[in-house]
Amino acid sequence: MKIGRTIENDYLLEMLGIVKRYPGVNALKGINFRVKRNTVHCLIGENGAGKSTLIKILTCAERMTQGKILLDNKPFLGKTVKDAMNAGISTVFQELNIIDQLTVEENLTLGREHQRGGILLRNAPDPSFAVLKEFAPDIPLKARVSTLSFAQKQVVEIVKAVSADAKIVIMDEPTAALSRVESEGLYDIIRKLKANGITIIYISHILDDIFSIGDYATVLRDGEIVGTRSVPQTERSELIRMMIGKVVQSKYLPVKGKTDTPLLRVRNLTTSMIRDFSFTLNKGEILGFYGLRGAGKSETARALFGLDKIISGSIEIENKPVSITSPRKAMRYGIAMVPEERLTEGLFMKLSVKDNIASSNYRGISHAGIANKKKTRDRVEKLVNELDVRIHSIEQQARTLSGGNQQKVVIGKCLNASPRLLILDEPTRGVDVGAKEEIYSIIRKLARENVSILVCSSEYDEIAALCDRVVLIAGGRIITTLSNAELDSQRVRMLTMNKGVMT
Amino acid sequence: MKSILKFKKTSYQQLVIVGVLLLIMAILSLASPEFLTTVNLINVLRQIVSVVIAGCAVTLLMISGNFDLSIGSTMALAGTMTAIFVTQGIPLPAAILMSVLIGMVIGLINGVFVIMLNVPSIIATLGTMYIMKGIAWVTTGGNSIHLGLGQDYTFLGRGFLGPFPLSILIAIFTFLVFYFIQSRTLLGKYTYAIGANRRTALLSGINVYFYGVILYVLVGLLSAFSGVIMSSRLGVGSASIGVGFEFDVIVAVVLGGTSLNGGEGSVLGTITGALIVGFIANGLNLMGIHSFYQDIVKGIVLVGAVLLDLTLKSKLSKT
Repeated sequence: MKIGRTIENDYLLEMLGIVKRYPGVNALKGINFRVKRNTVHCLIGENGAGKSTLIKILTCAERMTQGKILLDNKPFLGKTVKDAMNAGISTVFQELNIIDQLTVEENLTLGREHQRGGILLRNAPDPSFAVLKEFAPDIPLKARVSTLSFAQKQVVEIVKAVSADAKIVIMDEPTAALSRVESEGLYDIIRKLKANGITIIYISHILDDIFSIGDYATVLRDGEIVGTRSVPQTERSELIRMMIGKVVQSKYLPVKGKTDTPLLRVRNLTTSMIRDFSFTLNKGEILGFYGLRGAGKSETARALFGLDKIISGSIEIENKPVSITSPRKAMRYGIAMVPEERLTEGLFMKLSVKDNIASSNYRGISHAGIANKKKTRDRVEKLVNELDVRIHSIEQQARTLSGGNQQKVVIGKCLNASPRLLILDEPTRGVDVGAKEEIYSIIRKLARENVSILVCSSEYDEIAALCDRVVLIAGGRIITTLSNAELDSQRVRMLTMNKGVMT
Repeated sequence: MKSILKFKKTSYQQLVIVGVLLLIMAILSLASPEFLTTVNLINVLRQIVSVVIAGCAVTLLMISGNFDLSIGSTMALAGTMTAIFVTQGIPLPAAILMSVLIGMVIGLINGVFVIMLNVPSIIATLGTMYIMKGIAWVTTGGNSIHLGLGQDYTFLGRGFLGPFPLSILIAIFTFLVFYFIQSRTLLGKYTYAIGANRRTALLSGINVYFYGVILYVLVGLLSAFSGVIMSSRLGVGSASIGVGFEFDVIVAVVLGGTSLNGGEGSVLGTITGALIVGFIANGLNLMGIHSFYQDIVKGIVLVGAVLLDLTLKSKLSKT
């Protein structure tokens, strides 16, 4: 696997003119991405920048609309995930591809066991065992994978990927779920991989990762490459500037409905994922929660909506203490939520727009358990018009709509329950720019009508455009709360992104 | 620290089942003096032979995350076909072989529908269950076949090899073979892998289709064979032989700790589960309780044992 000095500067992978179009969205707009042999090449960018799409194309999980891939200077024409693996492209996903019920040894040799006539040979040596021993001597081969920590499982998966003769190992935000010490361990392993001649594509937006192990960094934004830099010769601030860009499409418009009367007051809220969250939300105010994925935004939303168990702390609505233990109760207190996962949590994909919207409040439109058809229709049509959902009939199935229209249906479903507090978790993920603006104006209009809004987002521009105040969170804790006027993109990102600063 | 807990957890699960078994045996031996006698125990073992033989294959199938409802019908068909072949003058060993082959074909059909054509396993095997049951009724014309079967016919079910009942030896042999498959072969390892995470198995280069179908063929083979034994024990070929048998097998497998979601379970557990079911039925018989009540007790024990297992599991994972 070692390669000679003479071709050291050669590119192992070249992805040229890659275009990917989804219906209504241009995910990748002609990308040229080159990776040098035996380097750690970081791929960075915000959610929706196109990182995942690019990787999916490389691993053949998605087809590109246009473009070509050269691997080792030869065209790579793989069609299936298996083809990519056979060509030496391995991926370590965030959701690990490893089987909990089997032992470490069994996982490492899965699919290429030492056997004779279908009978497994006991104690047969495998090269991967030595690799594991080198990388992580503390992981016993005979242990069941379910007994390992996440970091250890990740190491097993990396070893498995490497033993399958990988030339390129792609790591998708591998430190997202690791502690600081575990991250350091992972860096060591990555350095060892490099020493063994393996090329690594490292997807992350954690700057500490990039500056610890990266040789090169390519920044993606809105489906285009902003630039590629040699990491040792680049300042942190420059990378951040590249990631953020300067264009802010939508501007903050202060909402007139904003009052100083608190609707929601949360004190020291603690769940298994967040600690000591205290904040207030006034009537007609738009409050933002900003942080990386897994920082605690969605987790706060889930706790307020009765999905996560509250360990300690208090919640008051209009100065009365409330106990929210289920979504049903939350809705009774006038809380509605637009969940992060539209497809699996927000909508009944196979049901009609009408049934989706009506589902949140059948009580208002039924008598003695029987829904009044006319009332249902009237109410749904009113909401569909208000939200400008573009459909040809309210009987249309939810799954046939575009992302933006689907999201409007989810919002319509929430509004049908006439909430006092609307929680929106990543309200514009997977929604195109036009629909984004429309959703923003819907949110502003609701705030004017005195509904309190809580927006969780990992997009800075979104928070800056919408929110009157923003709570910054990282690692399950509130860092600070800023008013819209105090928002400064560099500072906000430094605070929430840089693991080093917050600890 | 963590690994110790985990070890305890798996052994707890085994202990729960064995504990339930011992508890039931203790209660029954107190309730009836005839219970703990050699004659009675052998009688129980004979009754669960069919459940054990088919259950071994069904355990692997369920570990792989699939399901089969056609076991009882396959059994009925295999039993009646053996009897019909024999009455047609075909030698008994050939008749048995042909019936078992029929079982394998049924398994293959199930496998193709479920694994290759993606028909949900409950639907596909519910279909074959009705079809095979129908064929068994049609071929026998609704009659029991007991004339012209010859003396040898009952050897498999009632015969002895030395001092040991042959059918029990066959069941023990089947268990040993499947224990070996489960713990020492590729098929066994892949069964767990596919059931635990099919996608990972696929990405690891495992031929999930081939192994999926093979498991169905094994279930067909052993269901048919246990049908042959049952028919031999009763000395009759009848389409009503395997009625409700699939549920007896599934009860034993689930009691034995095999997860309905796949990925977990063991043949040893299934044996324990089969013994629990067998002893309950036997004990209630000895106490002179009508068989109608036995179904009620069976249901309560099934749900109770699984509930107990779940409670212990969640308690353990919290600590």
